[in-house]
Amino acid sequence: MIRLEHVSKTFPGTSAPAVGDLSLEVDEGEIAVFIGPSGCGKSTTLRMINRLIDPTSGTITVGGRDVMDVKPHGLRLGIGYVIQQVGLFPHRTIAQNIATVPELIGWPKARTAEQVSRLMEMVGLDTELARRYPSELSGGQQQRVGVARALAADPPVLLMDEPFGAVDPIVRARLQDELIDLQRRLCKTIVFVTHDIDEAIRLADRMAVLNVGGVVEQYGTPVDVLAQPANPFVEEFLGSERGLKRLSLIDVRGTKLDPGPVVGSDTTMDVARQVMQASATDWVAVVDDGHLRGWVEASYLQGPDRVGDVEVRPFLVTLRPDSSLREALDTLVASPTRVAVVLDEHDRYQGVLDVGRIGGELE
Amino acid sequence: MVLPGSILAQVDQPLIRWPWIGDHLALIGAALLQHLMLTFIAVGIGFALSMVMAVIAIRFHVSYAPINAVTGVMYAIPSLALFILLTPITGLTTLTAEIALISYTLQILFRSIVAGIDGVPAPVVESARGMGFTPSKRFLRIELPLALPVIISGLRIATVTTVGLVPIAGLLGRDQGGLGQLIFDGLNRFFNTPLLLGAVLTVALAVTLDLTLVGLQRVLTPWTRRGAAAA
Repeated sequence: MIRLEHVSKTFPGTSAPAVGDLSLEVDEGEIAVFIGPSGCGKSTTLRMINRLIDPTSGTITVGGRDVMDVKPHGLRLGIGYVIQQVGLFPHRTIAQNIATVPELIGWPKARTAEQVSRLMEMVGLDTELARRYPSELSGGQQQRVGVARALAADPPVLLMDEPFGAVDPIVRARLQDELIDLQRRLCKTIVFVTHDIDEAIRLADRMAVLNVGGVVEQYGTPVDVLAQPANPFVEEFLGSERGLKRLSLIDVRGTKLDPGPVVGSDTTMDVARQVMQASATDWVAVVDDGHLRGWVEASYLQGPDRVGDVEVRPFLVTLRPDSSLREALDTLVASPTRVAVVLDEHDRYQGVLDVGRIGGELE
Repeated sequence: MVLPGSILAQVDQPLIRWPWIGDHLALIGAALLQHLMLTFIAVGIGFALSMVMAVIAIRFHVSYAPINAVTGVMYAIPSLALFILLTPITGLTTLTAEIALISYTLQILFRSIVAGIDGVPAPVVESARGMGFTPSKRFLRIELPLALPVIISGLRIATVTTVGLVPIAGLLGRDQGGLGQLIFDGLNRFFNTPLLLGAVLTVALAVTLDLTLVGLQRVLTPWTRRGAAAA
């Protein structure tokens, strides 16, 4: 969808190029994240795609069309653009801000109005805000307007330059989730610039790690980059806890679970003890008809009663198939049984995870 | 307007002769109207010229300093001297008056337009460019509206200054200078009533036009009065 071939940019009055000889491709419907230290040319590269900066040499095509063959403003009308400082128009209401591009390309009023309310809903903005001015909104709300405005004329491509860099971490995490959610529905081709490695890992289908001078040190899926950094620069840039970062990308769903020491309420204590010994634990999980009731400690598994007659302690935390292994590890550390229990969407018992299995995923 | 105390003091007459005002309403009205017209034309043409110069200065940055210098010199020439300099060329006409009046508005208006446009936040300009505004649409729909508060403060200063300068054009002839006609009539005849009336009406006109522009700004820039960000 977007192809950069041997692109370079040297700004007037400087000798070293901001971007040297950069080639990469972004496929349709994927989020490509450019990440790197300041001065690595990530923003410059992004801004060459919509010709806010013209490259010194090389070719950039969007949807197969050389961007230099199109008038800059015409090109930009078809490419959504979101920046860190949002840049909402202070003199236009929220609705007018979102309607900017539809108005520029001459949509009928009714269609524009319909699109504005659809988008406000989509990005989670109360339609009551439509007639407010940007200064009356919080930073998070303003950035949602920024995203809605970029999406207004339904462009196939979205360029985002550190869009969530100026909001606090809690709002940032929520905006990231919303972007992922939005992308699932819209399937845009998104180029996203950030210097936040966790943001990159979270959002990217593919990430390009750039070095000073626009050198692409590595371009690949976050899982691959984390598993096999191409060189010491990438390794250092990814920082510590690389293993943990990788774990955050792997779902519990994709991991083979241990069935665990499972018994029913009506199991006799003798049988329960055998099950426990077979899996070398000091507890058993009590599951009736697929539903987890809790766990029983080894010392209770005595006497003539059945398992259901003694104290069954609930698992305080459980995992879902879409939890990440990083969350699983966190749960596990807090669990007295040193295992994390996995339940499916219908609360049905799936199995247990322990540190050994999680570690196995990293090999 | 300066009212030398000696002039008023040495004449033995009441401060205001009210019947004179009643008898000369048509004259006073005509003078007021002329004052208004001279002001509007001067500020209007001055604004148009300043806008053109501002657009040039914004487009070609090197031109800012020379334009600023030229308008600055025009602003510094004493008004009387300028009338005298222009008279051999354009005669004792309204044109002479307007050329002088316009030249005094340029510096203020040019600088306020440039300052207003320069003051538009960079991210706003950046996002407008990135969204596909052509330079002219961006100027008209984004930069100019956002520069309005600064531009209108420039207009207020230019307007009040012009209202104050118009009477001096009365030196060009009996039918010139708006309310200046009354003032010079009073001075020439040592007659307080038209002198005071001309001065008071000039002040009243300046205040009225200033308040009108304040009102205009409130109507044109509603976004500047809405509250700051909610949490």
